[in-house]
Amino acid sequence: MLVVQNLSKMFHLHMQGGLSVRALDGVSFHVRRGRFLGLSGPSGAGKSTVLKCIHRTYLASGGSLAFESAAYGTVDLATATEAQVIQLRRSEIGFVSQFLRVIPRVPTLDLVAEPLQIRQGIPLLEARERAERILDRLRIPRPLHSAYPATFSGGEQQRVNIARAVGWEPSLLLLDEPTASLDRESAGIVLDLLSELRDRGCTMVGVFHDPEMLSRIADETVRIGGES
Amino acid sequence: MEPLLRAHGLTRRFGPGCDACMDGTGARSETNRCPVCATVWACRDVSLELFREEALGIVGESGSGKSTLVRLLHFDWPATAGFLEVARTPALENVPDLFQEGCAWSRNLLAMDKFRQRAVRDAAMGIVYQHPQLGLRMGVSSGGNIAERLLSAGWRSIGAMRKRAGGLLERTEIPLERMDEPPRNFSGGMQQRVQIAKALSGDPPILLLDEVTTGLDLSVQARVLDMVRELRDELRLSMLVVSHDLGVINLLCQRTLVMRNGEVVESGLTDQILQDPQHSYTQLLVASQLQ
Repeated sequence: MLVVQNLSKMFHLHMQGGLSVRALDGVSFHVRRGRFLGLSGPSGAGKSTVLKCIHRTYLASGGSLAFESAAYGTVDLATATEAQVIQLRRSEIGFVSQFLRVIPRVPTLDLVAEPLQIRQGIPLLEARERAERILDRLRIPRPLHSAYPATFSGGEQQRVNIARAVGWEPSLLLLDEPTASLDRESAGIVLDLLSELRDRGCTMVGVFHDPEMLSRIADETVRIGGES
Repeated sequence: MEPLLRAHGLTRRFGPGCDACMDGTGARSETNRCPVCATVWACRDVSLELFREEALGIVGESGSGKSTLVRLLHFDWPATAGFLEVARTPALENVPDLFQEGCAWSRNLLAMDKFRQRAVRDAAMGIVYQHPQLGLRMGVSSGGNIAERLLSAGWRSIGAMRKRAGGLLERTEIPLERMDEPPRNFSGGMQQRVQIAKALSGDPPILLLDEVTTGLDLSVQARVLDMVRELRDELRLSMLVVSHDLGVINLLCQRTLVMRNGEVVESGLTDQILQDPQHSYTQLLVASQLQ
């Protein structure tokens, strides 16, 4: 599903006198369809950088990221056109960031229903019902469904983030510390949701800080940074 | 994603130009004014594609050429050089001699006479300027401002124009009982909303927004931006969003061009521009952002 070969990433910081920072050097791994690949490694090793390169939020400096897309066949995400990347993000590749970043002043329920409408063409009312079920399952209290998530606690925001990402069933889901700000019970619910999604064929690449979480969900792990 | 508008080598200079201009100006030289002949290159060799139903952001500091670019695209100013084409689209089928038989793209719009440029603009484009007095006649009623636009698009029935103007003003949250008042009576945020209503009156597929929220206070800014976002989705508009505010661009646009000294120095997906800026100027811009 995804073959990463010799991925490297350099940051050239012009404002710091042209300082160059090597964030990734020759990272290679692959993940098969419907599997969960965990990325492990110490803080600062570049785990999130790998995810962001796959999502094209970062431009890879070298190497290739071959993704088997439904729209274009096998496509190198490092060099795909912007239009292709936008289309893939709309219909195939999802990203759960560490922190909720959404359009302000939109009610929680609409935020979760929106990807169902836009990406899967589900009618508004049904999308809202499904969004409600996902939020219930993640234990976001009903009265909060019509509120803006900017006012929520960190853990609640993180769960809204998950709800937005898992509802529309992408074929590749990238997860950056999806359970970091959650208590054990909520984290357990999230892991259950993710494994159900995987069982329906979604391929996932995830970064977890907590090795226990990682071992509970990952089919295989790759170590980033240090010796493998 | 299919392109709707494409520009190639768009250039506008003020002054005679000389042999030293090319080396003496542009982002690399950190000025847009030629040191030898004093020609200002407001916009230099800009190429871009605007896709259907996308919002494309243009960021850059004051004087970087953003507004010049919009004025060239809207035929407010003639271009010194360049190519501008629009894709065949239902709104433009009636403009005479625009498309060659069987061609998906128009002839070069910049080389056409003013009459046809105006026809393309009326049929395909709406514009909202930073300063409402550029887009509105401040002493004419708000409804009249819109009717004026409808008249030039061929509408003739007063009743129909009034109804259309009322609907647009209602959509942009201007109370109907105020549609006979001139925009000069309105607050800055309301004036921008009248401008938006006017820009949308011809059902254009393309909307050009030039710093529409600059100078508005924060809560008014939020309301105008929310409205633009809703209209974009509702009317499936292609938008060119010019702003010096990365927050505005981030809210509305999936792709962004960064301009400096009249040139495009970087382009990419908006999240990539914000999180992994490549050019030294973009890095400065992102680092200067208030959080």
